[in-house]
Amino acid sequence: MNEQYQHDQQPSTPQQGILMPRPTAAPLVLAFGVMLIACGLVLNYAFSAVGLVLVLGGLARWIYILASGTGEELVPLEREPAPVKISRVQVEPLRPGMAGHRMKIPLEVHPYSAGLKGGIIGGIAMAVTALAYGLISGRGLWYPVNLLGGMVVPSVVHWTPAELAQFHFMEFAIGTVIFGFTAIAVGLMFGILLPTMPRWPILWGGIVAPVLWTGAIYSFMGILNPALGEHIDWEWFFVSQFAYGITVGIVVVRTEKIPVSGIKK
Amino acid sequence: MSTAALASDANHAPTEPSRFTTRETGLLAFLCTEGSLFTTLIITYIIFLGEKMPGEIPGEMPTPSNSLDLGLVIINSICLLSSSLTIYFALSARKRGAHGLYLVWFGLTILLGLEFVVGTGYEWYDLMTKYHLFPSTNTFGSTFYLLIGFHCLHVLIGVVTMSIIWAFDALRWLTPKCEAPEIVSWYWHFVDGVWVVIFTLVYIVGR
Amino acid sequence: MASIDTPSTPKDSTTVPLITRLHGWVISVDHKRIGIMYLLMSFLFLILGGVQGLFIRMQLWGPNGTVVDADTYNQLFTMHGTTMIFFVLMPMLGGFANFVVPLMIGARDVAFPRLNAMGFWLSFFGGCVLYYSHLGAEGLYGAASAPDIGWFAYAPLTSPAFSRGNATDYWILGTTLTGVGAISLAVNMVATIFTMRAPGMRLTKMPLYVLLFLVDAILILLVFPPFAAAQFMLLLDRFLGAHFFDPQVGGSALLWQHLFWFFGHPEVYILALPAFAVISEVIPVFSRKVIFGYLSMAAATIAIGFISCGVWAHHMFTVGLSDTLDTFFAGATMLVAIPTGIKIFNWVATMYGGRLRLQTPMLYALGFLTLFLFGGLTGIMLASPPFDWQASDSAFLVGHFHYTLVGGILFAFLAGFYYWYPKMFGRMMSERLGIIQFAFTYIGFNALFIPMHIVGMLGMPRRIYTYTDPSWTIWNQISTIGAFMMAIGLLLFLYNFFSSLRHGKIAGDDPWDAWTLEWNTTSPPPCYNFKEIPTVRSRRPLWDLKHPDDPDWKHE
Ligand SMILES: [Cu+2]
Repeated sequence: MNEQYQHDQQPSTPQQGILMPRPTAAPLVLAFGVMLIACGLVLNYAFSAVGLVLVLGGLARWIYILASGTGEELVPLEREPAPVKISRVQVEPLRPGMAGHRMKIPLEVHPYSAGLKGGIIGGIAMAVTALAYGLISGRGLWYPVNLLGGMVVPSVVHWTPAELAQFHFMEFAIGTVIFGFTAIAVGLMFGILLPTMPRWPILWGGIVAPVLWTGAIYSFMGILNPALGEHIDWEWFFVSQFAYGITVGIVVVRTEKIPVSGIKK
Repeated sequence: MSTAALASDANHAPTEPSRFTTRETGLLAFLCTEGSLFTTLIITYIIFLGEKMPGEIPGEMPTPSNSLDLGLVIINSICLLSSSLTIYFALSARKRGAHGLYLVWFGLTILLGLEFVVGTGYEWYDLMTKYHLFPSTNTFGSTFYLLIGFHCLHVLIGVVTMSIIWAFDALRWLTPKCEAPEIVSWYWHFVDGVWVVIFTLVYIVGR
Repeated sequence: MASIDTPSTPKDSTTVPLITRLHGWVISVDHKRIGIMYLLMSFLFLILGGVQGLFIRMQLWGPNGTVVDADTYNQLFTMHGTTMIFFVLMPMLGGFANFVVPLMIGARDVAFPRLNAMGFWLSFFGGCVLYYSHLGAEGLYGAASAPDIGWFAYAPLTSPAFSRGNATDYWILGTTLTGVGAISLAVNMVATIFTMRAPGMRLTKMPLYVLLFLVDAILILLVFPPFAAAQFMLLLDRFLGAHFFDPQVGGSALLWQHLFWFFGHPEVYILALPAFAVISEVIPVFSRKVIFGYLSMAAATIAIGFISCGVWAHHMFTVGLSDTLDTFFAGATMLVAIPTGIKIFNWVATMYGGRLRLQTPMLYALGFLTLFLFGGLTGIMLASPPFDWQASDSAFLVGHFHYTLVGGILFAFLAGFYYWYPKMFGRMMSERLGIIQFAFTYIGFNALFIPMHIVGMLGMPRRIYTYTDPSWTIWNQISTIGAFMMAIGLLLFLYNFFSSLRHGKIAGDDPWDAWTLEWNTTSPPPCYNFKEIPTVRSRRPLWDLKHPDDPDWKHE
């Protein structure tokens, strides 16, 4: 297996030809032999014997090529490629205020930390709303947490209301991870996307986006996990999403914008 | 219309220097594959370690503790592990240009590897005749022969490859720059390293 | 020109007898020829696997179908799956890796050309062994003449007691041989990409195509050996009476599932990364824009490589693992959506504001985007254990993975064929036929697999040789019609491929006005690829040449 062809093996004056590996049947014979050996297991050991002979023959040829250094041959030069034409379309230089080639827009963005901060604060707002719902509706403080865990723990849907109201470490851990991760990730996305929305960014982030994804989750839940869907109180679900969206929007919009890196003013 | 061509050589900085040659990189990639293979086999051994047949009476079937014998294996292991040292000496002799010394150390490595293969053969012969342990006996037999067999096969392949290189070098067919001895030594160190893991698992922890 | 050694490749092919030309191909160690042979091999098996698929569809045309009997049906879906994965998509991967990667990095060949040839022949002979089972598998028992164990060959279906005769042995040997071939391909790719790049092409200056194939090769190196080990255990079970997968004697049937899927899931990504690679070349060139977010693409690729090794048990939710394991694997699986989503966003962002040229490669790339997105979304659905318990082993699942493997990967490879065909043979494929073919393939594909999602939801399981519920009939009939449309599309493709060899328009060196090194040599390239190894300074060396006033290297 120790063979190679490297282009630095010869000086860079390819006038008479270029040194390339010479065609050889050794790999073909070797592979065919390996196949026969394998087939001999099923057919008849005579096949394996023939295969072994072929493998040894192929290997011997291969090793001979490597050891004697006869694996390469001088290949004659062929037609040269057509030279590359310089494009007639000249590239417009970069000018501020004019969209064009290599232009970076927008010029100013919110820092990533704004999205992170928004995600965390919005997440807290949402958690408070959701837990408040658990208490007010009388289903228990841990009810929403357990449902969140139920997204991945299948057995949750079979729980009784009493069980759903209790604290369960597994569901709490999973729910916290899902919740924290999603809150921060969506916050980051808000931070990046909000400034690109027209006119009233907070409106888009606070109302339109929550309506969209609540609707999407509502319609998918019927297919994905109908049993879990029945446990969810959709009005409150939307209210907590709204709390999240509006908080993130406010936090993000209130931060100061910074210029995009690499743009010279 | 004007045309352009990419500079062929120029005074431009070449490719970032690769730490390894092409052959060395190829061998490292191959060793990654081998590592993955042995990891699978070792995990399989661990999964079935101590697994009993449904309804098995204790002591009725061969197990690691009542059939594996440490004596011969320790001799084998010493031979195999010391061969890592001898091949190291061989290669440093080769670098100094001491051809004769190199051949002696390298030949010694081959003999030590050969001892390991033969020793494993003896061990298996004992297991089959004295303890009636076959791959079909129980899951211990299946996993034991699979793991040890695969490793021993690798030792055998190493021994054969090294013998060919030794013969070629003895006839002075290889140039001093040839990478083959260096590369086969990497393979050999790898096989030895795997043996350390297997020995610890099969003969010490699992017994 | 000066005096020269006897040339090994005859120049004027018309005067050389066919047998000599064939001989020149089979003993070749040239990466371009081996690449083309890989592609031809995939065509051969595509026809075989396609015919099997058509028989399956004909059998399911209506309730109580009688086209084939139950045993034959089992063999058909086993051979169809095995063929398509191991002997169609894998060789396509090998072909695109071999032909394009060395050209793109400015190398004259791969690192180990002879090993490369051996890898190809092992893959090819592996396919021959698998199909030889039709002739030689009857053994003593007159039992099944082709493997009938499903493409993932669950224990105990494969145990000597349930699988008599030798069909299963041929399956094991054939797939193992190709596996060894794939490993030698991967060793070659890793060594080539790490050590043989053109001067100036640092690891961060490689085209995405090359980077994706590097990650792909590393994945192959890591996951094929466990598969080979599992195959070897199965052989020991069948020939020496070992007990790896035999629960009655202390073995574990579940172990096979773990080992197989530890290979099987990453295998899907091994096939998908080359598809992503092709798309990452085609979309920028045909949008006339640089790829959007190179670094995030690179990071997403590496993330996919890592994550895909930790999700295999999502194929085993119905086995009854613990809640904890289900949760872990569901979460890990959903994580894959993030890097994949990043990629899709980046491709769309590359097109956004670009000057799109809707030529055939771009058409297929767009087809890929839509179909792969759909397949990815149903994948997220299936990643949720509660849903998977309903839909696993139903026609819905079959629809899902065909959307990723055919709609995603095959469409991307078709884009690649249209894109690099001029470089391979010096002629263009017919654009008109290509568009007709696209219509047939795209419409046929959707007609074939969308109904499977519906009928799967209605409760139709996969792998049943017939059904009695008349409400499933209409969906199955739409599927069957779609299958034939798609077959026409693929036949048109093969016709286009072979007739363009003679009749295609002469392509020239750089027909697409593209930016990577392979377009800086003749079409087809000489066997040494480049007379002088070019020096590059950016990820788009030909852009730099064509636009000296605004080269990339000032900005990267
Ligand atoms: Cu999977």
